[in-house]
Amino acid sequence: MKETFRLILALTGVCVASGLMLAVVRGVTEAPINKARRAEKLAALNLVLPEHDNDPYADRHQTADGELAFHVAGRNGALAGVAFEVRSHNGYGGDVLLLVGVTCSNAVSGVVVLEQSETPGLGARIADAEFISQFQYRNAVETYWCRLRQDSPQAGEIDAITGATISSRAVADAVARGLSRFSSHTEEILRTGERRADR
Amino acid sequence: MISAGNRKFGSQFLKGLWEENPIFRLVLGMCPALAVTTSLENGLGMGVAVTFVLVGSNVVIAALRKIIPSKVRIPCFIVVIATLVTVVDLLMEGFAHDLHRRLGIFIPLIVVNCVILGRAETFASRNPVWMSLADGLGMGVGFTIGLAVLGALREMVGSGSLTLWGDISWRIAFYEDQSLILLILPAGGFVALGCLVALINRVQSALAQRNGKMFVSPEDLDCRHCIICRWGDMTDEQSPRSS
Repeated sequence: MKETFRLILALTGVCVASGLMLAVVRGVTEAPINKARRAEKLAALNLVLPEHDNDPYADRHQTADGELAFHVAGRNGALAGVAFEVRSHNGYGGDVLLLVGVTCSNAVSGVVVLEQSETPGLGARIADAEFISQFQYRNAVETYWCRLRQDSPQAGEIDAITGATISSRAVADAVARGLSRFSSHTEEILRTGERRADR
Repeated sequence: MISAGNRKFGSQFLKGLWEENPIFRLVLGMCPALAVTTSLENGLGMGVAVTFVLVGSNVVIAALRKIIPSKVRIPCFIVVIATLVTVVDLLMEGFAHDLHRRLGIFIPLIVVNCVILGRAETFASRNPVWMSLADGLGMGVGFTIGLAVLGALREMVGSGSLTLWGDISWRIAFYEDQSLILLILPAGGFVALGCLVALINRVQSALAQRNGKMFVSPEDLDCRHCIICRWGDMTDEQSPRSS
């Protein structure tokens, strides 16, 4: 009995001390972690959004049906563009997470890869400018171009990376999916932008 | 008295660097060693994180070794280690965000790194705090050196470059386009580690020969302890072919 009590006491003591320590460390690191996450996201947003004078990180909205969450870039009180995330499950090494920016004149203003675990040296090159800049300045509503040239010889305008067709296809399909989701919610997104201007 | 103590401290520290290097001699903690060492920077970052946890857990466990009953020592060790790993995870995410993202899941996985529990069980739970500190520091630095060498080799051959915190970086022009991608793929980790261990065995045997001694490689690194070989010898003797 006494032995059992000693065991319980030792384990409880260690766990309580551990809990206290973690609480202290969490308190200290919470602010820097949030700051670092924000800075990371903001850097990506600045890459894909057109010129703006607001804080697109804080200016985050969601469509009524919850299908699309988007960051808004505003300029002089008017809507300049939006950016939204698209996730693809069809990557070669796992999920690929993209951030797609669209201007209010329905052109793609940029795409960046936020997360990927493709093969280094092959599929991982989807993050290189040579591939990802192919999406820039294209029509965001008519998305027939957003396919690999080898998959759709008539319409596709995206050149796949040699030796990394699966990764390239995952990106092109995800961008197309994101854009079609965007174009089916265009009106709502514009309304959100106007509401912002009224405010 | 003090100098004798210092010498002991020094020898505990130094054994982790070469004689009992966790990567090349003990061959412990291979999961992070093979998975994250695709570049010098990743290897160094992982090594520093492991060193921090190793030193912390060794010191705490050595200090508590007389209080913790031996029946629940393993759960207690795990709680201590898991706490320190969470601390490292939070600190890294806050202050080295970029590195934290690249190391990803392998930071939380330090909990199950057998170097750490191994040192807690075989060393820190039986030795005073001061010696455990030396042991943890030596093993940690040895682990870091191992990961850094492995990472540098794989990065140089695999992607033809060597980067250190973005500031000091150079590329080997020869490899610009035709790098040996195999080396940064998972399989390349095994290839690189095997080559390095072979090289270190060669160096050790040369050193031993010069001193007029026989070199015996650590038992984990060859098949001496493997029962299949011995069984093979046995059946050979008994088989009609050998008679």
